[in-house]
Amino acid sequence: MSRHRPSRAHADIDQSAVDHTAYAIRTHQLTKDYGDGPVLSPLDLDVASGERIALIGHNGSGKTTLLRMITGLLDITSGTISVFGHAPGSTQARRHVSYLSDTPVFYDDLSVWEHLEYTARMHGVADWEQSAADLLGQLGIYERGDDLPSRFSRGLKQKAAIAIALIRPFEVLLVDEPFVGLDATGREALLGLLDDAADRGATLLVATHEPSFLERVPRVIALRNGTLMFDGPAQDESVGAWLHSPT
Amino acid sequence: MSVLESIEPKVPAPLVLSVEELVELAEGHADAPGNIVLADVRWYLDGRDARSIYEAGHLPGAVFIDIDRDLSEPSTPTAGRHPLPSPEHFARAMGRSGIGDDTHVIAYDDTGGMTAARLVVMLRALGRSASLLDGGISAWVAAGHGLEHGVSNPRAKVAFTAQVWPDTNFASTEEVLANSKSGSSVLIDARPADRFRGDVQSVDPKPGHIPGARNAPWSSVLQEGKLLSPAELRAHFTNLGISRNTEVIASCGSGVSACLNVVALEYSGLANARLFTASWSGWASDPDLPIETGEHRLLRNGSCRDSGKVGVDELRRARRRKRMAEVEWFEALYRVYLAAFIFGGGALFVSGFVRDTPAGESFVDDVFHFGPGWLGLLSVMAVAMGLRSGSRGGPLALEEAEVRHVLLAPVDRRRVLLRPTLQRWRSLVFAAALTGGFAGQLAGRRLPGTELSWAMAGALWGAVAATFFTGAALVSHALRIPRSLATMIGGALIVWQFVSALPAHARLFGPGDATGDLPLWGDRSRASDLFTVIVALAVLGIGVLMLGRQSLEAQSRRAALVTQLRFAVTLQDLRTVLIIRRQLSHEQSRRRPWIRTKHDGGPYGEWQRTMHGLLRFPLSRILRIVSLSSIAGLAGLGVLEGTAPLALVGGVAFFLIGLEMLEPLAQEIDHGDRTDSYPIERGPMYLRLTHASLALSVPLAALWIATIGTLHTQWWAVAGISVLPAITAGLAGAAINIVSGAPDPVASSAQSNLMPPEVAGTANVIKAMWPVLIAVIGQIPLVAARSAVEKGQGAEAAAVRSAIAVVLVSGLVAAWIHRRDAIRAWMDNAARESRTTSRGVS
Repeated sequence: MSRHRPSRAHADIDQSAVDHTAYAIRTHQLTKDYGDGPVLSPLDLDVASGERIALIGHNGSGKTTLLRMITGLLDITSGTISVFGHAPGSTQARRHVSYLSDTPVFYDDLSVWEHLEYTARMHGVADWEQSAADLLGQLGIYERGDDLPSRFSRGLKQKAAIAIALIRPFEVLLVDEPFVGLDATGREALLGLLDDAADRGATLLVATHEPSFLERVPRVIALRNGTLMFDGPAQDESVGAWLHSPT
Repeated sequence: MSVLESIEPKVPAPLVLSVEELVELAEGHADAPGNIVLADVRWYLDGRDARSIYEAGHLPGAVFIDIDRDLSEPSTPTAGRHPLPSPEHFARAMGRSGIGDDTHVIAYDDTGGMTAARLVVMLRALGRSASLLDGGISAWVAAGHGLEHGVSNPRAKVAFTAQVWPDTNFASTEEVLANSKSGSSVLIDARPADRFRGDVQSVDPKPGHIPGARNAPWSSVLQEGKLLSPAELRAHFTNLGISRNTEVIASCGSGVSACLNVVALEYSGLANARLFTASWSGWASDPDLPIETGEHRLLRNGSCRDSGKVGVDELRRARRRKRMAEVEWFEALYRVYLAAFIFGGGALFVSGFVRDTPAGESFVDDVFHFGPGWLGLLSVMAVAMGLRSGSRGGPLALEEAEVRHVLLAPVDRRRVLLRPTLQRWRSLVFAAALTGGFAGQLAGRRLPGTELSWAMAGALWGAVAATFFTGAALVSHALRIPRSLATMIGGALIVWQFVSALPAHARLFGPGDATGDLPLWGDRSRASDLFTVIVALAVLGIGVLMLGRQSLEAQSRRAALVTQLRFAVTLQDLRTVLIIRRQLSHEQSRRRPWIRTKHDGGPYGEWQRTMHGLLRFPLSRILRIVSLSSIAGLAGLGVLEGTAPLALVGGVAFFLIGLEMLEPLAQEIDHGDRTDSYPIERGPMYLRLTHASLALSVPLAALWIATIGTLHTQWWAVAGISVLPAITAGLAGAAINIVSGAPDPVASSAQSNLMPPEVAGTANVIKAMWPVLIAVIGQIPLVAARSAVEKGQGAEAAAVRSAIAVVLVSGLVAAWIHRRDAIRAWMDNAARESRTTSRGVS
């Protein structure tokens, strides 16, 4: 195990490459069709750099599809997306976007710590060991660092995935249902880590059903059946309705 | 209440004593000083003489305890530098120093407890009272107390009862080795990090540490020479993966400094550690024990970190090294041997079928004249398949984690994908060259030229076809050619080549002609044909150049499926392989059935359920079934015309048709939990589920008869007679495969472990093959008819006789499905009874 013990310090992230006056994410007439009808109707969305946004909507409303299209994991059917002016999935866009998926995927043969090392060094993070120790410490899984995450329970997998998503530098953090399966400690730690990321100027787009997260963001976007139904301040009274009403 | 307070101390004496507490205690015992003994346990790794340092100044009244002489036996290589003394030796040493059974010993040193803890640990292991003086002699002096010089008044010798060192407190080398493999306890190593990593040469016999050990330098439990607070210690040990009740084994260089970790752990309230006395000095002296250097890291050097830049290749190499180290090479080689054994045996067997008589001159002429066209057709089909594969996201299959962690990172995707691409190409080339070489060898037995040259030419041709497939797939994927367009282009190429291959259009150029020439190199080599090799490599090259344009959506979808597919293949789980292949090629049931049937499904609705399933078959699956029927018809015709081995082809075709037609039954078995919840017997229900499948096979039967009958009208009657056995045997074979379900991975691995490998391997093959054999039996009427004709007897009568036998076999299979649960229960019961009886006898 590492000699690096969790500290409160965070690795500084090189922000020089980003034009913060630009939009972090812009979509124009974006659609997605998996072959049996549109999953996303033409969607126009502007997200300024540094914004914190909660993406809400019922199951099947298109949240995951939208997030994955921004990462480049899904092909665009029509329309455009730009990430700080770059095409999604392009090398430049990948440099800025970190994606925390709702279905964590791990190598069968690497430990949590090795995943962190692999990811961090892939992104050229110099002093990853300290950040890795900090992240694992905050999530309360430092002692599991040498274990294989592919054998973890749902909640532990989620914690490992959080650490892996946050170890790399990013300007945009796309998060899909991050609170599912987390215990109270994990939930608190994640909220703290998201706050830290926002404080560093990162743009957050978080798909969630978690009411406590909605209190922390100024802007909420609601989707239903692939259509943008609401885009406005979180305090708006209709937000609650979008969160709770049946489809 | 702190955690520490909630724990019952093992012995009344406090584990750790501050100088103030010592002074207080000494005042309380002023009248009976014999009950407390201060022990000076200073010792120096660098060889300084501890006794003379003791004499130069020590706590008033303290006795000197020598780690080397009093607390250890003489060193032996594998027991380490400080093996535990014999109980008698220790008892004598203690008694000499005035330490009796009831004495409370307070040990100190000048390192915060690094050496004094050894005495504390040893005494407390025997249930005696011992405490560590926190801060040692330095804290004593710092508190303003004076030292005594020279030797303290010798104490009266007292009795100390010798006691065996308990296993509960000390771990043996065997235990540590077992633990290093199982990881059941946490092994902490108290040496400094550089010695742990093996960076420095020191007193250690060799650099490194016990595999799996975690570095917990003894100095980490101290701050300014004193122990950290229990809460701080808990944080420290938690970070090392130690929680409440974790089993901990403490080691170090020679079983001395580890004792400080033992004391600190107990003080933290987390756990009681066992001491591995031999420690690294003993472990490393045994050449048979494994060692590890560096920390637990993928990469042990910091080369990429220095440049601060990505080293994907280096990281991947490290992963591969790590994975290779885990491969069980013996087993891998055994698999290769078994595959060669079975494949080679099969090849010899099939070779025997081919008559070795050299072909006639006109046949040879035909081969060289028309051969290129038809062989070229196969190459064009490889291109067409490649185009389709690419349009569906092929041909690559990555790990899902690779897509998420590597392809989403800002790295050059082309470089990352190059290796998997070449690997995919290589494996395809290998398989195709093997098949081509085998076919060439068979051809070489009848054609002019040596078998070897024909085999080589066949292998070359196979390799080129595989290259075309890979290249076409890569290009069509990169260009994101829609599936329909890929099918159209591929279809057009096939039609073009087909037309040019027909004897009537012998002069028309076909796109595959040059490639079709390659396999004929067995006897005739034209340098111009090599152009096709260059074209194939060029297409592959273009595909490789366009690797950066691969769709991640396709990659991640395929990644998940291909992992499952590989697993299913290793288990010989045909059903799962079929399902995943369907998912890979996007073959989904139609939302609307072709025909809507009435809601009238007999007593339980199985007929209706089967019809719903079958009538939702997508067009591609229907086309596949239809072509399988035609292939079976052509093979049947071949059998009737005298090529008996084609019965194998026909049988396999009917087996595959059966698997498709019994899809509704397979669905039911895939969802066994549902079936079990129905209040009806399974066997009869399974049988009822096949009725509609049998009914919908009628058009296929008609197609089969028509294929044979129209091409050779003399066989109409025989085909009509043989169709029922052929279809029912195909369905029966498929039903056995479906109903038996997937092999149990646990049972099959147990089988392969317990049985001799040849037996287990053959048993596996038989298990996988016998459903197919049942289907092949369905072709017997055709063979019987042919042999009757050769003997001048009536073909129809022979066909009828064997047809009855075959239908009976199918009936037996149906009966087996019907009564399967009952048969199984009866067998289990019989087995149980025989066990009981044999126990009774013995």
